Amino acid sequence: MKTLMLIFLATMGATVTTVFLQQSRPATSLESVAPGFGGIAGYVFAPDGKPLANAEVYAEALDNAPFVGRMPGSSTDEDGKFFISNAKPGSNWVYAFKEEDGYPDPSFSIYRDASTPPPQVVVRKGEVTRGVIVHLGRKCEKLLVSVVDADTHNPIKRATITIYPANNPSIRSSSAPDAKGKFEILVPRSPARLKVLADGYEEASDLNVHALSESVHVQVAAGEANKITILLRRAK
Amino acid sequence: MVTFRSENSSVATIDSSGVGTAVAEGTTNLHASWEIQYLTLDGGDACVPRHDTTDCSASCEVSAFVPHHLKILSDTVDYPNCQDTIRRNLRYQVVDVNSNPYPGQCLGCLKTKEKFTNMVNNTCAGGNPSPSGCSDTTGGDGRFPDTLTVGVCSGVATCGFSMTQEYQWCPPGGSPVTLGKSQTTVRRNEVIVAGNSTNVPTNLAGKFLYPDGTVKDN
Repeated sequence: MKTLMLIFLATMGATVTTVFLQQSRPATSLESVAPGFGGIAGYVFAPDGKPLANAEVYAEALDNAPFVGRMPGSSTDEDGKFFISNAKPGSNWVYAFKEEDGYPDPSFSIYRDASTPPPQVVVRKGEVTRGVIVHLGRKCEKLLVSVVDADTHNPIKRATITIYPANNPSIRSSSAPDAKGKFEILVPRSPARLKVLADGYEEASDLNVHALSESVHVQVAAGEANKITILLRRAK
Repeated sequence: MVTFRSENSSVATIDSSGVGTAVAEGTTNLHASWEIQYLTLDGGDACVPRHDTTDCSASCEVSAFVPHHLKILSDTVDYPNCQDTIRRNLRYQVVDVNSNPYPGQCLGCLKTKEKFTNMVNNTCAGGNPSPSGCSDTTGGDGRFPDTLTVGVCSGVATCGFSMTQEYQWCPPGGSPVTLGKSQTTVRRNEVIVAGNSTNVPTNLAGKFLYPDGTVKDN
């Protein structure tokens, strides 16, 4: 039997109420829903209203149960369309992100955007909840960072950079450089700091992310490269 | 009928329907050959086979990537849903024996799954976690996330569970192969993976996790 659900999501402080029309129906022969789970089908849209291809999408169950492993998820196709085949029955948040394009995972507190809350979706076993729309928040500026030895200026390949909220260092995300030894840091809207660690080097910490971003703007305006180089001194 | 063969089956094999499978690191050629049979109209409406045929063949060079262990790309600690319950998220990438990342860009080409053993029961509410089955790595380049949380906002701060956690590659038609193993403890106030606790300032980003449970810099 076809079930129609109207879910009204009102955002605190927002002037717009978002209305999602979601339909839960049995899976069709073309949709493979994992046994014991349900499906979620929908689209991801960028802030300009266009569908976003190759975004990662996942569902987080709101069931007060332990979780270890991979959140059920998938990627969007060239039309921004996604299908999650193994969502847990019950209520789920649906998140989307595409870091290479400047859209971070909004479930990480430092990137949470109250103006674009994730849709809450009810999943039923063996059925597919369709019409789920995920709107991405504002695109973040990207800082390109290199970490080098202060004396030799050679890249330090085993450095890590940690980003954390200025008022709460217990929340943090640490990353390794890419294959070229570069870091890409997405600049959150709220105040944030960076810490740089590398074995055998003195730690660089409490670097103001927005001040670094401003310095890049000055560099670019002066015709210089759009990147930041952090020098680490060897530990004594 | 099309016939398939591999020049070096110790690097890659190909079955009778043309599906190639990597066996070990290396490069080889996969060949396909077939015969074209010609038909001619016999003056009426019937087609009759001619006596001549043409032999055709094609080949392609393939480089085999065999998943071996895991690189940890990022390590995130957060309290997203309640103030006192930690959630740790590790983002892995599948690499070969030389720590080269999976080069593919095709969705659905590389699947992984979890395996839990030696489970010490969850002392928070909600029971024990269940491992996921084989599913695609995201982004087409062998990356996948691992989220760890007790998932509840109440209970004593040290409630939780522990286990041996394995990540396995699901080769097509073969048995799962362990890529990384960790002794994992998940509590409301701490998550320990391969000996690294969220309560210390170090993290696992940039490290490599091996099938025997060791963590190395390369």
